[in-house]
Amino acid sequence: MKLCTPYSCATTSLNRAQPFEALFRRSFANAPSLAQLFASGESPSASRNLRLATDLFEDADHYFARFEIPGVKKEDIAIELLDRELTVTARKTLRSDEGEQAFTLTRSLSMPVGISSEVISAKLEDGVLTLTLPKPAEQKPRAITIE
Amino acid sequence: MNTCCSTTSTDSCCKPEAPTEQTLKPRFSLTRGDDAFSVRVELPGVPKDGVSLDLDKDILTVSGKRSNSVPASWKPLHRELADSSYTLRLQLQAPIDADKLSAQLSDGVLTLSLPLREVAKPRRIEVN
Repeated sequence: MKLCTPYSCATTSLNRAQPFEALFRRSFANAPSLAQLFASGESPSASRNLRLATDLFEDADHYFARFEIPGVKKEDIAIELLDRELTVTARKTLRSDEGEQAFTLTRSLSMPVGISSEVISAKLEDGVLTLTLPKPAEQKPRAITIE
Repeated sequence: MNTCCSTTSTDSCCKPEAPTEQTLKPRFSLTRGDDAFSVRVELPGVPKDGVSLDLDKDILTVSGKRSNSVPASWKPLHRELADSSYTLRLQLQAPIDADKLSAQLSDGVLTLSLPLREVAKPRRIEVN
């Protein structure tokens, strides 16, 4: 027999399933309008906030979050975990003949209980930021043998 | 400034892509200076050896192949990003010097410098 994983039976482990479900709700609630998307490259306004798109994965021991942030150096990326909210902020500057355009790309994700900022690792490669978040020990599915 | 088919730009126009290709058109910008075009293409997820450039007469094709960055053991929970590769075709309205073409990829951004051929450069004519 196996204990439920947090996602396979939400009813019996609500306290664990909820935080991660919130992440899904949030993803779409914050979706930018089309106008916002198209305006991103054109307007010469000084600063604007845009939402970063993300991919989320898991394996047995980790969660993974990926963000595409082309053209941004790692010094211009900030990753913060406050309470259970993980926020990634990237500052991007585009130079053109008309001058500089500054953007702030940001995204907040609700994290499951038990993830601490010390164990999160981040890698920036070819414009893709990958965060690795080890699952807290008690959240891993545990096989229980019947005696 | 982004230039595309729908804009009135005279510098370039992208050809419609073949419908069979499952590729993404990357975000790009193109500026024309006095002696070169400069193109900036965003190719997140593409390593250096995944980029190919092809100049056929006046059509420049930029392709970017992503590295297979998602290991098989990763189970997707939520997807917003595309996994497809990139194709960008630009029709150049002035002849460029293919030998002096230079390309640089850093942080997922490809920067191309396409020097114009002598014949296409603006000439100043002195009036005596």
